[in-house]
Amino acid sequence: MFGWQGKALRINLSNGLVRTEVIDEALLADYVGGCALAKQIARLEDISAQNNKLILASGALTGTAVPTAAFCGLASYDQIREDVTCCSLLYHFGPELKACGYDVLIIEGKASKWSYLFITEDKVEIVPIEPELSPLETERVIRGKFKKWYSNDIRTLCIGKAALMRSALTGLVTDGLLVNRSGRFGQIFAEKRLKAIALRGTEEIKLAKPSQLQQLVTDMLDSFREKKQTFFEAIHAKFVKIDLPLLWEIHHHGIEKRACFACPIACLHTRKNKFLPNFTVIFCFARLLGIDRQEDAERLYNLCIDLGIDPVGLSLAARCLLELEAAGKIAKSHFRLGNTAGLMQLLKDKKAIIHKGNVGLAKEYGLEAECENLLNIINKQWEQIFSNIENFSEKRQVLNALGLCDYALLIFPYADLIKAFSFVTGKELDKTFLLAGNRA
Amino acid sequence: MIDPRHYRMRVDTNKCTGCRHCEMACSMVHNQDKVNYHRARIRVIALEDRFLPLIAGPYVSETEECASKKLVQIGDKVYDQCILCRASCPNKSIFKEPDSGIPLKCDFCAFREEGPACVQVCTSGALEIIKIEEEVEEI
Repeated sequence: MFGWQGKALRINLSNGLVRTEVIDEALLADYVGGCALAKQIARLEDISAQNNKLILASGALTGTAVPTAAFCGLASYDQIREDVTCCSLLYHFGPELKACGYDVLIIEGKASKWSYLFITEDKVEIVPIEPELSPLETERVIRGKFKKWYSNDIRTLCIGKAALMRSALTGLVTDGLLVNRSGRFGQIFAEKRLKAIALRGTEEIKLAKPSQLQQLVTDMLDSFREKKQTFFEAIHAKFVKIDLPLLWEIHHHGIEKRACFACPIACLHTRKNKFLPNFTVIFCFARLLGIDRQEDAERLYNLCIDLGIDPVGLSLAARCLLELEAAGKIAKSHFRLGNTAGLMQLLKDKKAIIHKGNVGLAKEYGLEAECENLLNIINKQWEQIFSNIENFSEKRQVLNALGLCDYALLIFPYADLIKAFSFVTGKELDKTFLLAGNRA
Repeated sequence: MIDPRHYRMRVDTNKCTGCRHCEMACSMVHNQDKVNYHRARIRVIALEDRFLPLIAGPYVSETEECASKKLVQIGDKVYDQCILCRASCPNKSIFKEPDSGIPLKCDFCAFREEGPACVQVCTSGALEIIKIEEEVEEI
């Protein structure tokens, strides 16, 4: 098999049983990878609130040299929405799953005590760990068990202290970077007493047409190098149109650029080795929470990293809270628009109702329509960046299945990305898949 | 074609974003039909505040005494210089084939007309190939 590893790893945390399973080639051909594959496997596994499984599926091109191929889908059962839900993991976690020799990871059961999973190409360990650790401390503990040269390639996905508060805002952190919209998944990690997943693999990915792929990748990167300046100017113009001064304040002072695996764009930013909020988070902080000062936004984001809180979910929940207060449905809290300190105080209080999350609050107080509206505001801003891309929503679902970033659409011809799939796997993408996008 | 005896890699750690395209390109040109960054002869090492693309240079003579055990300052941080050239250390061959354990050494892609694949795909400008004589003349 080319491109895919063709294997799934099933781990039962209750009894420690680990099993490698062969993935049906027809399933890979039909659902390709990412969220499409993760959601379909979740359905085949008859996922429910009772069995509460976690399904990770890397994109078909993830871990290959195709530009921006870094993504991995994570699916589970959302008890509040009563449906399968999925989020995309970025940075370097997905490629490492492939390097461990698997396309899919299925985690079931519940550990007897707080533990993390350490997975390599030939072993799986369930290792006890302190639940109180922050995500960054957890990463340090896991890496600290090995020599620098070995630990350099360990990739982690952790939860933080918010998990102990049973907060619906509990998000995931991968190698120090918060995963946006991962709120509900952190809670499922907590229910399983799963503090983290750490991966380190040395397996290779076989390529169907290596020389053609190499040429295509080189051409794509050459073209990026030539268009780099124009690309960033175009992105800048789009962001200016959105009118988000906070974005420039945060991203133009003493920052370092960071890239996801195989991404030439490098849209992530750090300062003193700490990640800064990205566009979506800054948009949420500014538009939904009224935060307009750089220090406030960074302070709140750092608290989110420290506690392991999904910043997008937090913004939606905080805004719902304000709506409920305005409607007189709940008592007034310390938090007001633009009042970061009040919000941070609320977050640290484990009894605060903000920890029910936006979906929980909406359901309990009949605020579903307003909540959906807030979500649409965020989605529309994202779509505005891609307004010149024809059939953007369908194309982004195909890209998700391939493990590619949305930004790839702004810089590389869509046809080249589809061609890359053919060079990596030796197969053609099903036309119905291309037309309908994600089948899930 | 590049004769590795006359060229060196210039690495700008301020520009490296940690994308690892260099590792993938190296792995692809040396392994033909598969991709695996653990078989690359260049590795991106995450330091405290930056990434360091490190090539597995040719071995130096074991009898030569190491003259690099000192501290160097990059930006506002001080590093043990040992870490900067450990990959070409005669006593510590760091990059090895994951299955056979055979040490991996950079050959500057001497078999490629385009030069080193890692430099070719580095879009951040962190990697640059320079001719040694030219650098000496400049000094």
